[in-house]
Amino acid sequence: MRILIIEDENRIAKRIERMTKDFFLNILKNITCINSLNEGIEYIQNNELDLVLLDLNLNGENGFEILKKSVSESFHTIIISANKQEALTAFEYGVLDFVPKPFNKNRLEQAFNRIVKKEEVTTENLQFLAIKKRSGIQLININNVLYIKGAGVYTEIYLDNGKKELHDKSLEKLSQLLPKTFQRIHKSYLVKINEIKEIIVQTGSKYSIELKNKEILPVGRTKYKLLKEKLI
Amino acid sequence: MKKFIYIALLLFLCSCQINKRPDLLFENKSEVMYKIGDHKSWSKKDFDDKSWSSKKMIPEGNGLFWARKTINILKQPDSLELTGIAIHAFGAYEVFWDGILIGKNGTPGKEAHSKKIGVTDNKFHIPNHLLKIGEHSLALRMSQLYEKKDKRGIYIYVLNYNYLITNKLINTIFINILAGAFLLTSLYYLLLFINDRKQLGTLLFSLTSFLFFLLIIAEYIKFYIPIHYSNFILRLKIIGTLTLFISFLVPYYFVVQFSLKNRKQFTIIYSIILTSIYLFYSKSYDYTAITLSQMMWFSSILIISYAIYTKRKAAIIVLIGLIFSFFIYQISIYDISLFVSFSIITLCMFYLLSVKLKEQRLAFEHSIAESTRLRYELLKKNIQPHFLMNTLTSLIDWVEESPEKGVEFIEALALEFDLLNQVEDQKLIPISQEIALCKSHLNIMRYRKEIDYQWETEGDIENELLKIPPAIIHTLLENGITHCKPIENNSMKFKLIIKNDLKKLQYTFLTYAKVRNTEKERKGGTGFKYIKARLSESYGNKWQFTSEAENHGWKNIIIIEK
Repeated sequence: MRILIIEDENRIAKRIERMTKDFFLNILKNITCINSLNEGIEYIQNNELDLVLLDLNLNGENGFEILKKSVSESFHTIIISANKQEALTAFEYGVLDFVPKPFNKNRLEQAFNRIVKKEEVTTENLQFLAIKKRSGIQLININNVLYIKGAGVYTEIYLDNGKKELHDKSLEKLSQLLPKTFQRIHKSYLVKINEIKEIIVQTGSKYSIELKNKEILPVGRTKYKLLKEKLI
Repeated sequence: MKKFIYIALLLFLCSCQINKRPDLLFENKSEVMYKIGDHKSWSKKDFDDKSWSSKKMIPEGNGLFWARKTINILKQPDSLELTGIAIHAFGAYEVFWDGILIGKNGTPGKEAHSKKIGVTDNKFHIPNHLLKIGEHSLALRMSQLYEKKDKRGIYIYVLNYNYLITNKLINTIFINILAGAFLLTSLYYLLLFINDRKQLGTLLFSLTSFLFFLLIIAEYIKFYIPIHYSNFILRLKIIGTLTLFISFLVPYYFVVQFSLKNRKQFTIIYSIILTSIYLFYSKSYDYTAITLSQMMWFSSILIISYAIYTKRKAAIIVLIGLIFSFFIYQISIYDISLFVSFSIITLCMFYLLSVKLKEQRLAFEHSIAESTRLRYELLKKNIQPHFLMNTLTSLIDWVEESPEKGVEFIEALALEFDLLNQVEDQKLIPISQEIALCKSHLNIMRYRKEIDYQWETEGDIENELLKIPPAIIHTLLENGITHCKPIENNSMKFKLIIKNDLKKLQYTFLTYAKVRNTEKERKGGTGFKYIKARLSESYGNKWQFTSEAENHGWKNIIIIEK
């Protein structure tokens, strides 16, 4: 694990660092603490990371920009902040968890467990997917998403206007963030359930689905049962 | 809208002519003829006065003279009605109608030895049998001991006797109601001024209303209180002086109410103009009064036009009122027009005052709301989540690591809360208290940020008379901590310099550190808004606040003018 902590309060940064080290132990590859917004953004751009622990209020500057930047990247973001009222917004933009200050070890470990045990986020608050573009970060409303296809470490997001966008997060990570209306139907496909028109059963126990826009996607054998249950 | 209804009502009342003036009974063509001396035959109807002078001549001392006039009765009055003759003249006299003595005003020839009896305007009854159609003679046997310089002529009317007696009294009733209104207004606003000495406008208004009251009384007193001719000029002088003061006060009031600049220059120039008019025309009393009130009107129009130009509130309505008053002045006779147009001007002043009072009330309410908001903002400083939750998180960490340090931290926090509670409801606190607040805040931040914060002061910090709105330096300190990085040895220094002299009090607050975002200007965040609002609350606009990056870090200067 490569972890970055962005926190402007020295004492708190040290506390997070200590607890993170205690949790990840030997799977921790490196951990860095940064206390300012600009340095944080620079570090994210130049380093490979697996997790960012982010305070939203840094030296009086709103961390919203860094939040958008952070959620568009391949790694997960956990917010550790004093402003609970920002929690909803954070979830809308796709953070894995929001840990309100003051926090204890248990609460922080609960957040970490979501990564390690691949638990799904219980909240249904994700509203946007942040996508990196040349012009900056673009937010895509998840209502416009039909399905998502895994493409190695990236994912391809297929939209209802026929366009396709690339996201830096893996299908694994996105499935942890997306609400339950999205269903994994294949090792490479995540589909919005209400976009499915019907399940097509072919010879040789081959399954596929037809979407409302007539596209056909494959369904994994192991996923078929679950999908059928959900649809009925 | 209401104002216009009031104005219309007032006009309506003033225009009511309750008893109609009856027809004149005589032809008033002939001149009054004068002769010094005394002879019985001079009273006779057919005495030939052609050799007499038409110019009034007044003998020395108690000396007697006669005045004669031919009156041509055109219409026989109703036999059941009384007919009278009204005479306006200076002097004591006996009245002969066709040689018959019909009345007496004072004691001609004996004035020096008797009291001042007789009035300037007198009325006498003419027996009906003496009022045949045709020419009649009126002869006055007179003496004029006082006011010998005044060569005014003799004015005569023959009219219905009841009308002569009651006519002016009825006008007087209405005018006295108006006078009463002015008196009450004047008293009311005087009391308002006594309770709030800062309101120059209310005093000016009260004074103007009182002068109006006096002017009305002085103008109309002749109709119900007999005035001896020796006092008649005095009354005119009083009227002139009152008009002079009113003519000054009304435009001055507008200058004050519209808070125009150059008040002093206006006062000097305008009083010179008015006084010269007053002195120049001092002999013709009515003309002085008219010129003065025209000056008043003209300068008021100028001032209000300027007020409209500079977009002052309510100026347009006042201008309309003034123009309206000028119309009234033009279309009606002097005695009425003077008061109607003055009343309209007063209404304008009244209206302006009410607008001002409303503005002041709103400003006052706003200031209360603003103070409450600032107090709330001050209280919020230490319970807003960013401060409180970060502090608590650090505190938990300290308690877990070293309970003793944790206790010290809690004590530092308690001190900060205590200090804030002490100043929470104050508008100004001694600088020593503000410094204590800052130091306690630094103490907390040391535990949180683990930076070596240093504090220095320069100047007379123990002086209890040096005050500052609460948490102003505290806010600058918070800004410094937030927006600056420590220098190489992990330290940050803050320095407060107090300079106090006769003209101003200056607080300079310096941060010695690295500024995080030099390229990004720090313009009025909530912190700066708080500081500016607090300074305005206590010092109006007599303060300056600057904040800028410097080589060593940051520099804030607060200057309070004395």
